[in-house]
Amino acid sequence: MPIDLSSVNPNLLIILPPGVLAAFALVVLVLDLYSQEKRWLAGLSLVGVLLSLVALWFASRPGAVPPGDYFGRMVTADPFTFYMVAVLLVAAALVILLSMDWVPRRLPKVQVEYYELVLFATLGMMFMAASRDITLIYLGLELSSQASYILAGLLRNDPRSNEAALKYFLNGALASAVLLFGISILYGLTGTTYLPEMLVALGQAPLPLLVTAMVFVIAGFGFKVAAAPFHLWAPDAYEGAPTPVTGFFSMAPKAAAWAAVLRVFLEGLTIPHVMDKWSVLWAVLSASSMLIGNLTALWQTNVKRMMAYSSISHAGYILVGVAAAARAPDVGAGAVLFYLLGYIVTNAGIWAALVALENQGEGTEMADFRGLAQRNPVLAWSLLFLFVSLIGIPPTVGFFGKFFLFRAGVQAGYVWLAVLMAINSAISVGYYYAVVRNMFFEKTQKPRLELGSSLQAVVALSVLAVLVVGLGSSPVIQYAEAALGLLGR
Amino acid sequence: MLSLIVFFPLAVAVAMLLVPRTQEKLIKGLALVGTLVPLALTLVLLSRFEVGSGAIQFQEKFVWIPSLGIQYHMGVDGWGITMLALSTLLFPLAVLASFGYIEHRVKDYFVLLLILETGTNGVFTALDFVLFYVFWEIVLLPMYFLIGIWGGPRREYAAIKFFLYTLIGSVIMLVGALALYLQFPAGQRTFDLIELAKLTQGLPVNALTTFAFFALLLGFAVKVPAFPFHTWLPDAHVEAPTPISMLLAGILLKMGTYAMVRISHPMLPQVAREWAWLIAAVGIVGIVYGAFAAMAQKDFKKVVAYSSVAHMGFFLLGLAAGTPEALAGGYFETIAHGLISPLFFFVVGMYYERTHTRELEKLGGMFLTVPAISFVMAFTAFANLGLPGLAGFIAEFFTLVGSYQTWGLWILGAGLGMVIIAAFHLILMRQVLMGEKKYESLPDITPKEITIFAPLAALIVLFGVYPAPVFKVLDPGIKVLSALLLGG
Repeated sequence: MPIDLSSVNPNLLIILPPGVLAAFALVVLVLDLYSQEKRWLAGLSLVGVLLSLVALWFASRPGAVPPGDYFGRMVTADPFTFYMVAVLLVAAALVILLSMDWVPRRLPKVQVEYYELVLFATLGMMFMAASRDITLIYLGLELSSQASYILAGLLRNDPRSNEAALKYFLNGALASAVLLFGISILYGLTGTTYLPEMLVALGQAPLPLLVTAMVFVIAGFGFKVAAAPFHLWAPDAYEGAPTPVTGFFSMAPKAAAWAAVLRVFLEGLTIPHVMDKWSVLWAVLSASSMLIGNLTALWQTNVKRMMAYSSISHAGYILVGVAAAARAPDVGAGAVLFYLLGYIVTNAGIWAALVALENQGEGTEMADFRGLAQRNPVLAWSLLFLFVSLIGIPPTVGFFGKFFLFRAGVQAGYVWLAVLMAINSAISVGYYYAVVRNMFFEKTQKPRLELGSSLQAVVALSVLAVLVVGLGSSPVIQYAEAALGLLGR
Repeated sequence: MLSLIVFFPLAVAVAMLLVPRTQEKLIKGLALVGTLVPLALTLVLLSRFEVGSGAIQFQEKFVWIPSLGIQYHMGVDGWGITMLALSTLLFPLAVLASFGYIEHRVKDYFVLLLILETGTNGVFTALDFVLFYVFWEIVLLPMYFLIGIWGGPRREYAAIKFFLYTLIGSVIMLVGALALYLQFPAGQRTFDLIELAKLTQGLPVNALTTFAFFALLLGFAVKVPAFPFHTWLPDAHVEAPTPISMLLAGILLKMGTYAMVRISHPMLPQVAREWAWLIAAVGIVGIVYGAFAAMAQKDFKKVVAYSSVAHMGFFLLGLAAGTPEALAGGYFETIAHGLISPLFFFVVGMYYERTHTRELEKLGGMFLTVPAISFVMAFTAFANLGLPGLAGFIAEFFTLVGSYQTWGLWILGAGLGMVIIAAFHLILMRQVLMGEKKYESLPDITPKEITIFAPLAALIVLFGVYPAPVFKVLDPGIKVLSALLLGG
């Protein structure tokens, strides 16, 4: 029976997904006080995320909420929002699932706080993706960042975790300040924080000031997405942070930051003579991120750190789409959105393997992967498949993601960037290969590596999604490319 | 039907995953079934193939990613079905050659081998660029592991070198194809190889089409491998186990040559005409260089590997010439080489299994020790050097005759190469077959080995004396391509 929602205020409907998540976050917080057994609260957090997804599905059905802005133009209902919020919730669900065995072992005293922080960070990110008002985007960014700083330092007795948190916090705060400074100039030029109005008002703005503001905004976001040369905090923060948290960092906050980048630049700064400037700036960042990320990753001996550099290089790939979006908005943004989804589903499985190693009291050094094909062949082959996706070889989602980025780049006239990206994909084989070599060609005496049901689920979901979203990319890319077209520009 | 030929091995591979590791007999049986069924189906297709028609036959078309003009489009014409037949023929032989040779991790080995067959069969039947690319890359990983796990002492180096060379080539090829695809307004864009070629043939020769042409050609040339991108080949061949060497030489190299006649040249004949001299030069250098390099080797397998480089030079020369005779000769070379070189690698394997060496110095007097195997060796060497009456001769003869019309006396370079090729084969035979006995007694040829030798040898002889059927199948395609490459 179809549910008739026409009488429900769309304002309530559009706020339902974050509302559900916030409600669960608070309930879990309260229950933590009265509950001796903490494990089920992790499950409850997961249920909250999943229910939020259901609410999102409800709100995103055609006709449920007419496209437009709600809550005093603060929250936007459009396919872009729906897509990104769904991606963020999927990432949060995967991370919670990934942490279920790990947290009781390593963080026995702050178990629930862990899930709390993940939920609040996700809440902040949802607003980052769901608003066309730069104020709320910034507030969402801060909410998710504050939660992330604490998450990075949760291993209180581990100096490296402390270092990670401190570095992340200092750099993050600096980035926020830089970003805010850029935003304040934009506000000074236009007198509004609402992006579509900003776009109209910017037409008369003096160019030098506008470019200054743009540079600050790019630098601020550059820090947040860890694009070279603003990436220096990332490897330390990634290596020191608790492993599932690092997995979380590599997936969700970055995706949200990309959503904000697309919003701000494609809705607020699409004046022709300015577009070309930010496009070139992003293209330069793209080239440097790919090269620095990949070439530095080749020398890493710790897989966590290697994945940090890998994520820097992937930021470079995504930037190809951002730079291309200036000239071909739908294709460029569509490619970015698709790549984000692909990157998240691929990464989840890889982090599950790292968490599994730590669960058995081992580290995340390259040497710990020795003989993994002996210890758990299914996991080793799954990891191989996921690395293949990260490299961008078919039939995986990573290939189709790169394919769409290539297409956007070439269509926007960035053939050199596309070729550079192609070469970089080949370079990246070098470090993924190091792990694969250790897994398949080295021998070990260590016992079988057991995963536990939740980690098994993450790996299985990850592999399945990589295959299914890859081969069945048609509806996803169609939705993603149309997401921007419906913004009502 | 084509989809079944392509995906049947994959389905068997998946089924094999469920079989317990210890059931080696069942696994081997499954592998044989998984490769024999596609062969049988291909024979059925061959019997139904309409010879003399230039049309794409046995087409299958489904919507895949409509917004981008990507389809699931399969089909074969003369170019495709000959390669498909070669591929489906060699896989069961390779499986047979693996029995008794591959003894550890048997299950992993055959699973990878079957996935590999899906990749190669797919490459020869896909008619949509994205689909083609998917199959093209699927080939990479199984091959990487087949060399990397079951190979010789330097297997890891050889495997990753093979992987990286091919990957760099193919990602750049992808960018090139995208550049072509995006030349057209949104409504017309398609990745369908046939449709896209019709559009791109009208493009002017400019920086972009030249870039696209060389981007595509780079991807294919690495696979062929054309000089100077050939350096992965000797390493890969030397380290790969015998059955994998057979497949590598027999089929994987042909992916590159097939792709040239299917994609780069029909799509941009106007650019190909401009640069034909370069391709011809690469071909001739490849022939001479490959022949000299082969002569200098001390390792039996490396000799055969470099002779592949030389033989693929003939294909490039014929392609660059563009006359019907040259194209027919060049493509026939890929078929002949696809039959001869696997046999040659198998011969090396037969010696290696008995003597545990591939060093030519340690072999010798084999006519006295193992006469039957040595007969096979002599037969193969003569076929490989282009003895009249065997398949290789027809190919090289037609290539040279056809190329003369375009390149004139430059083909003397290739002729010189042929002399050197003949020379090193004779030296090779003297070293291995003649001389004093170095081994007292070794077991001679087994029935299994005869089963592998017989079909290949029969086809080599058949195509050597009666190549007409193959030419008839290829003819319509050759005429079209030749008109494109010669026409102004």
